[in-house]
Amino acid sequence: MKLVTKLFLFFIPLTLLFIGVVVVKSRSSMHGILLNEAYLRGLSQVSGNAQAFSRAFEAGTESSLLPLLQSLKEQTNGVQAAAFDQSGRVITHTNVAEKNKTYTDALTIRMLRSDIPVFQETVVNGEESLVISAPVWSDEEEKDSFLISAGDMVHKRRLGTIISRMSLVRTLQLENRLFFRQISLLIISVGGLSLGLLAFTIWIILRPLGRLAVGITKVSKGQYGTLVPVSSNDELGQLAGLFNRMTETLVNTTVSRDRLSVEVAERKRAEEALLYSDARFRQVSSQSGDWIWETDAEGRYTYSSPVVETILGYKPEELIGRRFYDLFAPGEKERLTEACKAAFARKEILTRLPNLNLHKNGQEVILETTASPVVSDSGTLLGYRGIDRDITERRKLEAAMLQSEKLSAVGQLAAGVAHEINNPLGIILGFAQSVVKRIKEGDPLTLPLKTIEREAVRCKNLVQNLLVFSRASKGDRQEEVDVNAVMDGALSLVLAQTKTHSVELVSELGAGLPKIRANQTQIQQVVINLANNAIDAMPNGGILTIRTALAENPPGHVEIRVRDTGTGIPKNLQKKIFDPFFTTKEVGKGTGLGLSLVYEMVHKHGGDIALSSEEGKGTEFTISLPVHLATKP
Amino acid sequence: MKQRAAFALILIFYLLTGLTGRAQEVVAVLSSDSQYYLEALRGFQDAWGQSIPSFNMRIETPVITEKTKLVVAFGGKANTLRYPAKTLVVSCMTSAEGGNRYLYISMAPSPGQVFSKLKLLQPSLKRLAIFWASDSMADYIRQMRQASFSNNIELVEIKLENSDTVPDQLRNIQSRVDAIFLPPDPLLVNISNFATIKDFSSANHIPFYAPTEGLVEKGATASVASSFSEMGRSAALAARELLKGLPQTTTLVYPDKVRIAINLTAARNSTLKVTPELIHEADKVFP
Repeated sequence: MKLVTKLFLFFIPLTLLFIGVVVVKSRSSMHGILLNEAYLRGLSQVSGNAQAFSRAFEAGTESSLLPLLQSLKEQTNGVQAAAFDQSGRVITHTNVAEKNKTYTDALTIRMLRSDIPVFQETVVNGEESLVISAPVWSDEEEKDSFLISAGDMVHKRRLGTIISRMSLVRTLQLENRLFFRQISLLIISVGGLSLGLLAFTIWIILRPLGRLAVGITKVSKGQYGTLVPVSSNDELGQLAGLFNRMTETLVNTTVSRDRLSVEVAERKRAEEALLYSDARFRQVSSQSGDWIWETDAEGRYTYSSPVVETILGYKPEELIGRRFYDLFAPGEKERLTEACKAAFARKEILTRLPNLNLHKNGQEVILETTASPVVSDSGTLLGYRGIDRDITERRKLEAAMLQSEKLSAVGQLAAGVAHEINNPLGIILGFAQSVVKRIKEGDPLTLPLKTIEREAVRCKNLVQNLLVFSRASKGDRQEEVDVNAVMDGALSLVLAQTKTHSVELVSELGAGLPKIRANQTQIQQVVINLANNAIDAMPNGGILTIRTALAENPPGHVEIRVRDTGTGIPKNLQKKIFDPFFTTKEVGKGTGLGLSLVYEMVHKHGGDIALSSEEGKGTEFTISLPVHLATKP
Repeated sequence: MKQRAAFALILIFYLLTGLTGRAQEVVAVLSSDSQYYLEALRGFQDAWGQSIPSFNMRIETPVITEKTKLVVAFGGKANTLRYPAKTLVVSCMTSAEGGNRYLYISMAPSPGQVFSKLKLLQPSLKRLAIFWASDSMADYIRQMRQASFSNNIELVEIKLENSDTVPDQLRNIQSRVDAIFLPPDPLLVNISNFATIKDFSSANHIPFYAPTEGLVEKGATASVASSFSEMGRSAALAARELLKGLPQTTTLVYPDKVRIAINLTAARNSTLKVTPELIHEADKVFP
C-alpha cells in the first residue's frame, strides 16, 4: 500500500471523526446556549419586575398579578405564565381557568421548593417548551441590611413563585439553522483544512521521498553517482543532502572496493597457496623419515615433525622449548654443544653434521644434521631450521661393510700368500713325512724331523684356514646338514682339548631342529674355533656349553650358542675381535684369524653372529643360521 | 442532717433565683436571626462570660420589663424598639440615633485607626473622598476630618442629599482623589450605590474602601473595619461599664480591633500595590 493511500486512510477517518465529535459537542452546546439564552430572557423579565411582583403578591389579588403575568408572557414570547403560592395552588394564571388549581407534579414541586430560579426543558402537548420559575420575595428590607449582609439573603419572606412556560419552537428552529450553518462551515473548513494538509504533506514529504526512492532505485541498479535535488533545509532536505553525499562516497569507494576485491582475491589465493604449502609441508614433514625441526636463536625447539618420536622417542610437544643440545649423548655433549654454539654465533649453515644423541630409552642414536640459520631483514639471527637424518643403521652398515672390505682385502692377500706357500709347504711336509717314516727308532733326528712334520702340518692347517678365509678353499660347497650332527662332530674334536684344560664340556642340543643348508666343515670349523677360544679364556678351567635351539628372534633361524665361564672380553675390545689378525694371545699362539674366519663363514651362510660378554663372568657367542623350509625334517 | 438539707435547699434556691434575676437584668434583642447578628451575639457572650436571654424580632416580640437593666440591641429594628425608661441600651450594628441612655457600638473603626490602616494600605494616599448621607454620621465625619489633618491627608467630604446624586458626585471627583472611602452609613450603602461606586472605582482605577469585609468580597478594593464578633465583644465591655454606673463620656464606642480585608482582583485593577508584606498584614484576602 502506497504512503499516499495510507495518508488518505489516516486523514479521512480522522477528519470524519473530528467533524463527528465537533458536531455532537456543538449541537449539545448550541442547544444549551440557546436554552440558557431563553431562560435568561425569561428570568430577566421576572427579575426586572421583582418589586412589582412582590407588591402584587403582597396584595394577593388577581387584578394586580394578571397584568404582570400577561406582560411577562408577551415579553418572553411565552405560552403561559402563572403565580403560585408555596402550596402549589395557582393564585393567578394567564389562562384564568387555571386559577385555584393545585399542581403537584414533580417539576412544579421542585420549582416551588427552590430558593433560586429554575428552568427545565419539557414537552407539553408535543411542543418543546422551556419552563422557568422564579421565587418572589417580600420587599421588606431593613435599611441597613445591605450594609450588614453585603447583599446576601437575609431571611426574606417567600411570597410565592412565578412559573412561565415559553415555546421553544422558534428557538429550536433557530438552533437548527445555526447548527446546519455551523456544520456546513465546519465541514468546509475542516475538510478543506484536511485536504490542504494532505496536499501539503504530499507536496512537502511524499514528493521528496519519491525522488529519494527513484535515486535509491538507481543506486541499487549500480548508478552510484545518482543525485537528487535538495529542495528544502528541513529534515527531508538534510536527508536528500545525505543521500547525495552517500552516493558521492559510494562512487569514490566503489573504485576502492574493486581494488579491494582484487586484493582480497589475491590474498585469498595467497592464503590458499599458503595453506596448500603449509599442508604440503605438514604432509612432507609428517611423512618424511627425516626429522624436520626449527629452533629459536637460543636453540630451543619451536617446531618438530612427528617422526622425532620414531627417531628419538620423544613426542614433538615434548621437545618444544627444549634446547637441541639437551639431546646430545653424554660422551659428546660438551664437544657438540660448543661446536653448535659456535656455528650459531657465526650463523653458519650446518651441512651433514653427524652428532650422537640419546634416545628417550637411553640408546644412542646417530643423527646427521643439515640446517640453515633463519635471519631477519636486519641480519638478526631468529633461529635455525633443519633436518636430522637417523644414520645409526647406516653407520652400522658402513662399519660392517668396512669390516667386510677389510676381510676381503685380507682374504685376497691371504689367498695369494697361501697359494704360494701351499706348494712349498706340501713339499716340506711330504719330504718330512717321508723321512720320518724311514728313520729308525732312537735316531737322534727323529725329534727334529717330527717337529718339522708337526709344524708343517700346523702350517698347512694355517694355510688351509687362510684359503677358507679367502674363499679360495675348495671345501665351500653347501648341503643340507643336521646342526646337531655337525655339533657332535665338532664336540668330538674339542673334547680332548677340554679335558687337558680342565674344562667341562656341556652339550645342550635342541631336539627336532630343522636342517639347514650349510657347509658342514665350515660350521664345524666355526664351532671349533669358538670352542678353542673359550678354552683359552678359561686358563683355570671352567664350563664350556654348546647349545643349539630354534631361534625365537629372528624367527626361521637355528641358533648355536657357545658359552664359557672365562675371563670375558673387555668392552673396548668387543668391537675389534672380529678384525683380522686382532688377537690378545701371546705372540705365536694365535694368528688373529680365528674369529675373522668365524665371522666370514657365518655371514657366508646368510647368518649372523652376536657377542655377549661380561668381564670376569664369561662370554657367549650366538650364531643364527637361516633355515630353509624345503629342508624341514 | 436536717440543717444541712435545709442549707442546701436554700443555696440552690438562691443560685436559681440569682441566675434568673441576673439573666433578666441583661437581655439581647436581635432584629432577626441573621447570621451576622448571631455572630455579634456570640462575640458579646464570649466577652460577657455567659449566655444571656435573647429575642429574635422576626418571630417574637421582646418582653422587656422594668426589671431589665440593660438591653443589647443588634440591628436597626432592635435599636428602634421602645424600651422601658430606666433600661439602658447598648446598640450594635446600627446608626446612633437614640437618647443619652443609649450607648452605640460603632460599626466604623475610630478615624485614627482608619487612617493608620489606610496609610498602610496605600502609602501614596493624599486625597480621600468620603461619602455620607445620614445625619447620624456627622460626628463621625467630623472626627475623620480631624484625623485626616493629623495624617496629612486631604479629606474630600461628599454629603449626599439622596442616592440619585451619587453619579454626579462621582463625576465631580473624577481624577481629583486618590481613593474613595465609604463609611457604614445605612442610608448610603445600598446595592445600587455600592455597584455604582464599585464600577466607578474599577473604571477609573481608584481604590474603593468599603465598610465591611462582605462588601470587599463583593468587589470593593479593601476594607478597614471591625468584625461583627468584635462589635459584640465591645458591646459586652461597654455594658459592663454601664452596669457599674460609671460616668459615660461619650455615647459612641469604637471597637478595639480593626481588620484589613483585600480583594486582590479589585486591587490589581486599581492603583493599590499589593505587596507580600501587605498580604501578610491583611486579616482576610479574597482572590
